[in-house]
Amino acid sequence: MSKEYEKNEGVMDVERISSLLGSLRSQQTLSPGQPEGPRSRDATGGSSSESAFVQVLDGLTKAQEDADRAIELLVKGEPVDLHQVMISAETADIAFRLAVQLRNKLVRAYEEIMRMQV
Amino acid sequence: MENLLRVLQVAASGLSTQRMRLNVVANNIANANTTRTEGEGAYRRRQVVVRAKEGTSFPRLFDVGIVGGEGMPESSLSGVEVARIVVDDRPGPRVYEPDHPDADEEGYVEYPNVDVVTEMTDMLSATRSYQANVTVIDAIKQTLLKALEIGRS
Repeated sequence: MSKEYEKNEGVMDVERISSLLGSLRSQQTLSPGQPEGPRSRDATGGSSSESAFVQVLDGLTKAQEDADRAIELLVKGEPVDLHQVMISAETADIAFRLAVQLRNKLVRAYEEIMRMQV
Repeated sequence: MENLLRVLQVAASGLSTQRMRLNVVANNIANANTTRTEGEGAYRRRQVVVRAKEGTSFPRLFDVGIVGGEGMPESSLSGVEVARIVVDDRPGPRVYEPDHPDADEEGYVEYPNVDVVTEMTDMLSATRSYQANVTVIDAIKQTLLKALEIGRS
């Protein structure tokens, strides 16, 4: 039950991170003087650190989906190993912590730039 | 992420194997006095044959077979698996019980070749190995969490 709660909270946090990322991205594109600057660096759009972060988020989503599925199978009474369920839950936990740390890094970098004297 | 998952899967294969050993021990103990089976005679003790899982990925085969370099690649660390469950064919003790429904013409009943004491030691061994694998998983997790603390300040 507590795991479920934690997980739901995690999903919410991912959405929050995504929206924050989105606002970061819009700030980048709306910045005057450099209309195409940060965009033109690679084909996928956004800077390389941003696309790397999106990749991490994708991995996190996958890990959380795996954990979800494992828990669902266990609750349904399917023949699934208990330790596999716990391991996938732990993997999702670690992936989430990694995403949070990366988000902290990004936000800190952003704030550092915002404080910069022009 | 892939590496992290693989090392966890190695430990998980250990957990699965030890759980299978426990299942077999439970089956043996449950049938320690079973004189009748679907086949012939008394129950025969089951044993688990465990083998190291060898990664059969192409890079590994290349490294080991063609290049023949010293040492083993990391991809050969892929855990353990249950090869098969074998039946111990040694005859069980014959006990003189003429009134037993499964007694033969001479009045002897064949009992399973299950030694409960051996099964108990097997059980302890499987339990301890399971705990050891859980400890490994815990250590992996602690290592990863420590690594995440690098970024925190």
